[in-house]
Amino acid sequence: MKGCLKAKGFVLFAIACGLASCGREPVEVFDSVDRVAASCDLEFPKAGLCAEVKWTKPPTADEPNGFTVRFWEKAKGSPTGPFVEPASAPSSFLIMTCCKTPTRCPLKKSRAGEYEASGITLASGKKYWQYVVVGSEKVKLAGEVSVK
Amino acid sequence: MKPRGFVVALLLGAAARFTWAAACCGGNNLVPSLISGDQRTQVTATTAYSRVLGEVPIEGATQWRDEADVESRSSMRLDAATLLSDRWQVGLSLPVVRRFRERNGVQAQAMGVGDVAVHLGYEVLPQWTYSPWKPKGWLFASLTAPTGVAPENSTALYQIDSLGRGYWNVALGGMLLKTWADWDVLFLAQVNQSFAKILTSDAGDFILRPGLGGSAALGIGWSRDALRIGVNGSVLYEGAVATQGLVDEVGTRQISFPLSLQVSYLISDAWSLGALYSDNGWFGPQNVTLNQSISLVVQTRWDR
Repeated sequence: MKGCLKAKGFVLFAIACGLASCGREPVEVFDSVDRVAASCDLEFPKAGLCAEVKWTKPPTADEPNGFTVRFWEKAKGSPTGPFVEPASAPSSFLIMTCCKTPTRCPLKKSRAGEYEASGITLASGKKYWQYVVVGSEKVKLAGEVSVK
Repeated sequence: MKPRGFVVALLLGAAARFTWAAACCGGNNLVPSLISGDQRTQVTATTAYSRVLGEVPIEGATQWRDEADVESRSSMRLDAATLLSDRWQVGLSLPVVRRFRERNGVQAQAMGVGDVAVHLGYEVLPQWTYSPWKPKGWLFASLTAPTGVAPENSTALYQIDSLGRGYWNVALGGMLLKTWADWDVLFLAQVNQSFAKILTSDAGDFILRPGLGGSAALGIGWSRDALRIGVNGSVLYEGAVATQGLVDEVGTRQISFPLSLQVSYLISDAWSLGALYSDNGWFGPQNVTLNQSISLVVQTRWDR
């Protein structure tokens, strides 16, 4: 009998706990490595790399555009470096959000772990999704590239 | 067909081609310049000027261009058609296109060959005896080659060097034409399909698969002596392009309802002149560039 009451109490406690946590986001505790990962906008899990894309100027239709992609090791680096070479040459492309047509953005190595795309012409008033590819990993940037 | 019947069909090809290359779609709504009278051969020269007024994005609200953003497209096109037999005809369309854009003080322009097309026509409903109701009718097929630079291959600002659609395209259609005294009515419809193509990049290949496209037009005209005045309403539809390979996405279809006003004049049995004004912004277009166009058409013919 006592065992039965204990079991019922446990079930009620479990239900109460479940109801109390309903609708809440899970809480995570980050260690120091995870804080670096928080700035890892573009993560390549298989390669263990993070990347960052920086456009030279705000994208515009009125002149050719360019951007830089930098890679660092997720476990050791940060957006300020040190930058590392991916095992295979990275590449990048844009997809127009309205029409889903691609724009090619060939990357050229400018220094260790840093690649540049230049001469990219974009359509005025359009938005694009941006992708970076390393080996078999293809990552889409959060947000959109808006063109003036 | 009475001689003024020549001018009924004179502006058909011009009226049906005021569609601008758009990134979304692969078709071209091409309507051939058909021989619709008693000619053996005809040559049509069309010069057109279009100005962009704005865009209707997929979100729907029209974005009008301001005065600091001027975009135009001029074209000169030669259409030739000749009979192969009493009812079969073949034709060729050779466009030269010039595009210009000035925006925020930056200018870009390009000129070159657009998409070249060949046509085959068959007079399916000949009019050997008068009928108060039976129209003349033609079936046609067109094959368009991507001889103009495609938007995806453009390297210039504003994609100004994009003078073609970038796809091989096949169109099938028909045209009916009926005249009563001073009036004529014309109906035309076509469907077209562009072939998929592969776009290579450093990242891998994209496969671009255009959707089915089509158009229909209804025109009414009134003639007095050698002069004809007409109005033509159309619906143009281009299916979305699906992009596969590196991504798997489907674009957005394109719809517009161009309206055109036409004046044509029969100089002689061998020569006609025409002028045409067209606007595609009147009736709820979707995902298109809004433009107004003016064209002048000269046609010469050789009788059978």
